[in-house]
Amino acid sequence: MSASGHKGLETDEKHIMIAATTGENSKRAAMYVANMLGGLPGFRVTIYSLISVPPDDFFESGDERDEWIGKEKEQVDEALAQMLEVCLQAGFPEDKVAVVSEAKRCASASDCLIEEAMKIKACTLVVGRRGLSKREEFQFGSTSTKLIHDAHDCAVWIVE
Amino acid sequence: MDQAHLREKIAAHLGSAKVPRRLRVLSDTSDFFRVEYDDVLLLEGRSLFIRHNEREGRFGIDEQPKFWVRRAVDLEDGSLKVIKMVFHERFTAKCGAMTYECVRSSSKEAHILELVEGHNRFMQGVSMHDSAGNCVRVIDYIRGASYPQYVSDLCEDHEEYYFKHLPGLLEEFVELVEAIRFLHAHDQTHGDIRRDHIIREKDTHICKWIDFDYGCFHPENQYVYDMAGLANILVFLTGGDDVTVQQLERDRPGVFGALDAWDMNIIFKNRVANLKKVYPYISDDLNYMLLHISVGARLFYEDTGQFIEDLGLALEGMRASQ
Repeated sequence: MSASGHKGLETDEKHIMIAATTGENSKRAAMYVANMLGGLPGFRVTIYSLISVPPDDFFESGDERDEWIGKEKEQVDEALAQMLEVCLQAGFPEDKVAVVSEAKRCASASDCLIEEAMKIKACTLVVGRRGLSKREEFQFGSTSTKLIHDAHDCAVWIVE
Repeated sequence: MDQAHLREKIAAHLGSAKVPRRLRVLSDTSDFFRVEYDDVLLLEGRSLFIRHNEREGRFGIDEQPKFWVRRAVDLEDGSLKVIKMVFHERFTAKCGAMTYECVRSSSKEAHILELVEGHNRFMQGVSMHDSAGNCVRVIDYIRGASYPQYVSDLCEDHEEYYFKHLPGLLEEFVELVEAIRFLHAHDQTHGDIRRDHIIREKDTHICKWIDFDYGCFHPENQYVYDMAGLANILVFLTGGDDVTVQQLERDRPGVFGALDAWDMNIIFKNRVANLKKVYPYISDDLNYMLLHISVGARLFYEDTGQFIEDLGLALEGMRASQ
């Protein structure tokens, strides 16, 4: 897996950020980007995994919290490795694909993804749709729906 | 405090007939089943005379005793308290394809009690530690009616209820939603918003949120679960009760026949959300809000700000038409 951050930054490059989770939807997002842009010059990709950490009150102790994050990270790292492989096999040079994972408190996943996209100056944010039912979306929220409404200054690709 | 002194206090506040022959004094609540009626619980120098279990009715099941929640008399001033001992639950719940983790957290409730101290829309209380370090919440008992009962009692005739009572109820509901906005602004959630978690205080007539110890973790958006609870209460308020397809089929077959699947509540499939089809005088602005919780909805409320804004518009329209 390549180190986080990019080498050889070129100002006219288009920067694509793929949001990663442990689900199949993220792999679909990576495959879509790989098929569309793999091997083309002028693009670089950041595969970004946000591990949204519950509030401290959710845990009985700091150790329990650390253990929770460790387990999540283990699963996410596996998914990130697969997504990286998809991009590399599609022809992205190694120095044009970065993998970043971050564990933090985040009230809204979409807000944090937009914040990260702005921070790394991504022009396009790609997420895989999870295919929630309306009931699930009503009760728990949908990151992709919220991204469509809230993202400014960057394009959003929702991959089915 | 010695036993004689405790007995004096009990007699002073409850009468000598209530003083138990054998008085047991506890300071460790780790095994909450051991805390029994007529015990005295000592917490950080405060003495609490234990009374009955609290109970909770839910989903039509008979009231369930909550063994970790007891009523108690504070022997300092004779006030009635609710004592919530630590019952840490953690479980994974499932809704459709989604799984999510839930907890019952004493520290969550303790933090919220601290945050909402003096806020008249929340139950009040403090957290104290017992001799084993358990975080016990000592809550001021609220004398009053359960909110759903209060609302249902007002709604004998829906049209009269809608024009006479609902505007006032919605004004109060705005205050309750503002209170939830206050929690969200401080990175907290209520976690279990249901109409029976509101009590209308008898003396002040103010409705207050109770029970903040429960929480589920939704990584997509921390607040939407509370929003779903608020939306469900709004449907209940507008209908004056639950309006079910079973009732309509029996009592108003014409209305029943005009309903389609899109009109139903997205969570409770036998309840109608599109209430304008049942009560045509409901304003468009208010019904627009109800449609956000119907099966046909494409947009849902994601934060209290959106909800309060729409509720304000609906209320304005209702007031203007009076």
